[in-house]
Amino acid sequence: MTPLRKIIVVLAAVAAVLGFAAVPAAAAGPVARPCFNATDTITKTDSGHGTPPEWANLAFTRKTRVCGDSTNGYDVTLTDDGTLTTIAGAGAPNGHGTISREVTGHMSGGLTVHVTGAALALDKRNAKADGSTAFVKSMFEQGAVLGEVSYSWTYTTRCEKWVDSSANNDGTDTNAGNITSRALCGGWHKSPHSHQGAPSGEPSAKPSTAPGTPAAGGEAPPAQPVTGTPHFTG
Amino acid sequence: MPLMRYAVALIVSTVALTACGHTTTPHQPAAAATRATAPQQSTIATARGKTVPIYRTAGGPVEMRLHSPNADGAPRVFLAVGSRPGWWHVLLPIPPNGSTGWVRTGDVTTTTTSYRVQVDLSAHRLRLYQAGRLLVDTPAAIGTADTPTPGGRYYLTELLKTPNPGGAYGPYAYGLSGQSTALKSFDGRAPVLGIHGTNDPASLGRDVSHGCVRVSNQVIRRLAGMLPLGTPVKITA
Repeated sequence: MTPLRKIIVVLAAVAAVLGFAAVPAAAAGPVARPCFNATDTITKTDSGHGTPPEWANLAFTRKTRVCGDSTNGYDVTLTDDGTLTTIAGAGAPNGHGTISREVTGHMSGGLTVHVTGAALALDKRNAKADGSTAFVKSMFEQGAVLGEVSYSWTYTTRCEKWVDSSANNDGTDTNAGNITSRALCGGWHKSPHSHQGAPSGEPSAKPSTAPGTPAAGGEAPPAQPVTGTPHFTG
Repeated sequence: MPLMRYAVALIVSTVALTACGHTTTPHQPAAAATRATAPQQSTIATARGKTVPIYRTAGGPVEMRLHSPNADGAPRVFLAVGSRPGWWHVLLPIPPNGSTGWVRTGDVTTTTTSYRVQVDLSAHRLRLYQAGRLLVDTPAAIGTADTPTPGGRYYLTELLKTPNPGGAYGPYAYGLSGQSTALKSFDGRAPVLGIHGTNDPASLGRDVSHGCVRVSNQVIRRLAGMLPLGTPVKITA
């Protein structure tokens, strides 16, 4: 046997021993279970904390990923991305103010939750379920138990942002922001020059058709109240 | 003299208001004036500076100057009823009801609103529309036979958050650009019309006020979160 063949034989023997030893070690550890993915296109209204609560129409894509863990439970992750259209007259989502008009914007976010107590039935998921946790439950057989839900969705329009999160008291903390569909970013007193029209991306009034006639700016925001005793003809 | 009641808010030019044709009928839009915006959009002009010169005609002499903010601290706004190059034809918050004048485009900024309020006196209803869509239809109290709510075209001039939400005016009170035609003064001031809440819900749907329009506190709260100053208000018989 040549020296090279000896080396090959020795290496093969070592590899065989190591491989044999590795099999029992792997079998003794946790068994990884597969992940499953699904994608849904969802249109629904979103409820906030105002009155009436349904403040926006959403149209988004939801990607669902469910991975089995080592204890017969499942880790569920939802990832949403799409658009929003506010509903004029609805309560603003953080509970303060009213949606003044219809504007469009972007929404994205999702949740993670650990589920136990029931087998996965991903094909049974109900994209029209009332709420994300109901959606998660719908993809399991009866008896599913949801652990703590960690969630965050961010809703943005050109001028405003509202974050509805498990970390900001369901979107009611002062730093959660809000959406009232105001037209002018920066507030009432910072309105743009009237001849510059509405901010880009926002609807604008049609200017007068006669040449040289002035054009109006964007939609006016709700009045800022002044504290005072009324003197009107009650 | 009505003008004197506005002494706080107005700086009158050398030409007295009563000598300028405002005492009888409001100015009509000039024939050459164009419509301000599409029918379901109204244009609101807001003062840029501390005073806004008001002209009787586009290009004519200054007739008066209106302060901004107004006497209650609200920004001075006007409802545009027409325009010409370089000018807005606006409804004025001065008597007689329906008075109009002209402001230079450079003296104001403009926005629009798709809201409009209609008060139906015979039905005792206040209705709010947005872009022609009915959003609110609610019972309202109006003026008595002796102090009627005068019909006409007005706009919201100010929004007051009352210090006593449980009081007679409720939590919020809007001032209108019009005044009572029956009273010379109210509580020592000009008899400005308003839309406000009430601590007497049983009065809604009845003729009980001095000219103001009362709605429920729930409704006035809702309106307060929606309507910009300058929103048109039409009161019809």
